[in-house]
Amino acid sequence: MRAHAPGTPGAARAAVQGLSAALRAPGLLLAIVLITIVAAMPFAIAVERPVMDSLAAQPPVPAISASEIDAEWWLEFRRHANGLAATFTPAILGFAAPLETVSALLDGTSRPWALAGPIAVFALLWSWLWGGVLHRFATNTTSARAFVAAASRHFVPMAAITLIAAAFSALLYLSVHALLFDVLYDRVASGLRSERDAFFARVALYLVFGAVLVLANAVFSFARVHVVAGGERRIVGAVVRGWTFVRARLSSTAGLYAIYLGMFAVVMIAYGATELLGGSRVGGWRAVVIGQAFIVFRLGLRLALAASQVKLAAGRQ
Amino acid sequence: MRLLCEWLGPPPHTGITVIDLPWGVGEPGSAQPGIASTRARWIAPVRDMTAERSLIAALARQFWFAADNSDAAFREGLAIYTATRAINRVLEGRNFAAPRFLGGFVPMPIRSLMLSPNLIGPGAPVGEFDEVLMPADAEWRFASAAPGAPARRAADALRTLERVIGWPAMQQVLADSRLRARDGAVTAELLTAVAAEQRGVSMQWFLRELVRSNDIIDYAVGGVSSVPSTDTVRTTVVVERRGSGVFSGTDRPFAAGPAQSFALLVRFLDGHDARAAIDGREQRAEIGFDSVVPAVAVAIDPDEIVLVDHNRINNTWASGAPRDPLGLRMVANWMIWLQNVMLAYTAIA
Repeated sequence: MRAHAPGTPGAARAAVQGLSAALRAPGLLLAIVLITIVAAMPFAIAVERPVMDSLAAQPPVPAISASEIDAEWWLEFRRHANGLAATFTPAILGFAAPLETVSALLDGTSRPWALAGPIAVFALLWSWLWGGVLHRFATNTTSARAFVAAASRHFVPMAAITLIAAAFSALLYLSVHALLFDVLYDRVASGLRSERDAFFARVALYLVFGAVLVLANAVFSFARVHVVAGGERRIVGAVVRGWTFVRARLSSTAGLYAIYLGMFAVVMIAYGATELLGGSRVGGWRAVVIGQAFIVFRLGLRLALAASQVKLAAGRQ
Repeated sequence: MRLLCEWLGPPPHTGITVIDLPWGVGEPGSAQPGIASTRARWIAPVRDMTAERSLIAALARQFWFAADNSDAAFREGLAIYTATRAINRVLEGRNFAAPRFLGGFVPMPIRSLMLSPNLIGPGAPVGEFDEVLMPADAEWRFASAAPGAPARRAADALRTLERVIGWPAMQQVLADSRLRARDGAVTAELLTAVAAEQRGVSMQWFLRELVRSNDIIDYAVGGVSSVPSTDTVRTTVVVERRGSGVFSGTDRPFAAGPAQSFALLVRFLDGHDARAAIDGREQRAEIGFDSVVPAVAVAIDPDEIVLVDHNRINNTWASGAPRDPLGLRMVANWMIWLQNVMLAYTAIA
């Protein structure tokens, strides 16, 4: 086992430091949760109108019915919905929502173009937020003014890195994903005799593709860290430094991601279990609150990972 | 199977072999005379009824095999209609939506979305299940079940007929039609004749307007206006027939007076409802209502009778209606899903 350089934290220590730093920044988490909700709100308002109009004169579902939603209405609504309203599928309900997004990411499911708007808006917002977030964790400065100044100062390089990362991810889907799932999986699955074997073959390919995605994410994340905390001014230089850093600290980086993905998986499984196990019935506003709490958890995890990356990179510099 | 026999009479074959298809072989829900196929999935939570739906679809098809291949599209419509109805009946109270993720291996039963509630409200039950309709152009089907195909129109026509005459009468029509056809095919003409005999009125409108016509039937709210006067508000609702197809629900000539094809419901600000009858043959109808408060919502065919209506979403109009709490919750769910999507995609960019 290779020893870490003096003062350089390992994956576990960086994870603990990152989680600790994120926990010490509840105001930052709250602000980012609010920004996320505000970013999603205009699109929800756009979807609300057709849903409400369509429901306004629906026959009432019996109060003691086992279902609160008229499935026939939903089928009819989906058949004629377009734009964002066309994404109004049963997968939006409860645990199906995060499961569907993870599944779509791993399967490379094509999305309606209408979703490009919200995703682009959110990517732009995060291009601005990254500068402030990384500055906050690199300097421990809690001032809102310093956050805004750093976010604004680093907006252009962050947006450029986001653009490069998006293009690179698209390239990965068009090449590696297509090769793994459209060619290799089809060949392997056709020779398998049981569904269980086919499932495990697919999981193995998810792990391979997931590792490639994680590697790419690590390179671009450390590129951002080098811009904000390392003073790197050139975009290409930052990406090269990100790559060099990840290559030099591959085991720590992989360990860090394994810890965070593990935490994500544990909470996902617990969330899923609340809806699947026994006679549980999570519906109504309670399901909405749990769903939003999961978003808060995801955002908290994103902040903690960013803080851990700052700590990991700081030990190297 | 017992339920299907109660509804439709004895099956054409004395024994039916049920096959649990191995992975990667055949299509669940497929059927040959005397053979019904389904597939038990490896990951199948207790609330995932996919295999049951496929099996019911394959069993329901058994009743519509015939020695000759006449009126294949209508028989496919009968197979779709009876399978869908049997699924709703057999699985009532436990038929949850269960979309599959991660390559189709992992199901996620959604408890808040019951496809077949055990207490069916005044609306129509679910009329489409993937296990009944997919794959749409399989060789084992009597005819294509693709959207817009005559078989799909026939299935919707049969659902509409059930909404008009009620299930007890419909069940008798189906059973008597099979009895009358013996080993031959149940054609639309035969079923229409049986229905007419049973009800004592001509039912040619069913054949002419719903089954044999390809014209799109689409009723829509063309406009709503509320004009206040001294002590009342005059609300005028315009009902338009946008497609070239017609749903009359009667064979009486137009000149003999208006038909009561379906209802128009108007809901007012104070919560009370008013209804009027619409003649589906009219290209455009203007209906007036006097009330003390303005209308907030309008629905054509609120009882969901005309299930052949191409677009039932344009059957409603709302303005200033109290926001449906269920709708708000669904939009809130959608917003959380959107946040999940935004977080997922910005994680790889």
